[in-house]
Amino acid sequence: MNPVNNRFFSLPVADTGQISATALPPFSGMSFSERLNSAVREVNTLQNVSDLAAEKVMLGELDLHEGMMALQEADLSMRLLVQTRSKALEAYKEIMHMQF
Amino acid sequence: MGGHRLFDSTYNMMGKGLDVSSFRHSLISANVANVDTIHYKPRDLDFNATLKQAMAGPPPREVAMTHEKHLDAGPLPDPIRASIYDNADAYHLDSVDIDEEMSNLVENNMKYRTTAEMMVRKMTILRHAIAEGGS
Repeated sequence: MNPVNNRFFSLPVADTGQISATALPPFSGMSFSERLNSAVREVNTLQNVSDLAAEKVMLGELDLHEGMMALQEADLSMRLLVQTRSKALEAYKEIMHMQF
Repeated sequence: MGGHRLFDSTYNMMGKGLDVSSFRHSLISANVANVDTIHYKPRDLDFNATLKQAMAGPPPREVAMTHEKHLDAGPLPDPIRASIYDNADAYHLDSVDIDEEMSNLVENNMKYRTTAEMMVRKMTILRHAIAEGGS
């Protein structure tokens, strides 16, 4: 399995044969909030890129498929980000409601 | 692009692009309808140039009205209509070339549908973010 588009989150996508706790590369010292922050920035960049691509398609400076790809990337990355946010929030609430 | 507004400049540009495409469609239709009309000069517009004009907005008034009795300079020209030209000069034609018109029609149609599709996709992203992943 090849790394799926690294431009999205630059998450390490390991080979299927390598999936184990030790095989995954370390998170290179980034905290969760730092990773989330950079992810948000990356999604924002993709949105801007897709806007620019759409304008260029309209002016005939870019092929249609490239514009559609950019829009699709922007859409998918936004969906992934929103889901990640929801899950993180869910986890936080779960921890808050724990009885000690 | 362009600031932190809900409907950004790309959205505006798409709207103007649809305006221009729609108007160009009416021009091409008129050309086809007049295919047998004698002395009819086919008309067309340059999409990119017209879009640029439409995005820039109407030209500023050159005459300032500093007195109540000054006459109004009249309505500003519509930037889309202002950029129509006669095809006849460009192609050395005195009448409509139906092949040319058909090819323009298809091209324009595709541009319109592409722009509409891109607009829908862009709005889908926005809707998804607003609904927090709900729809």
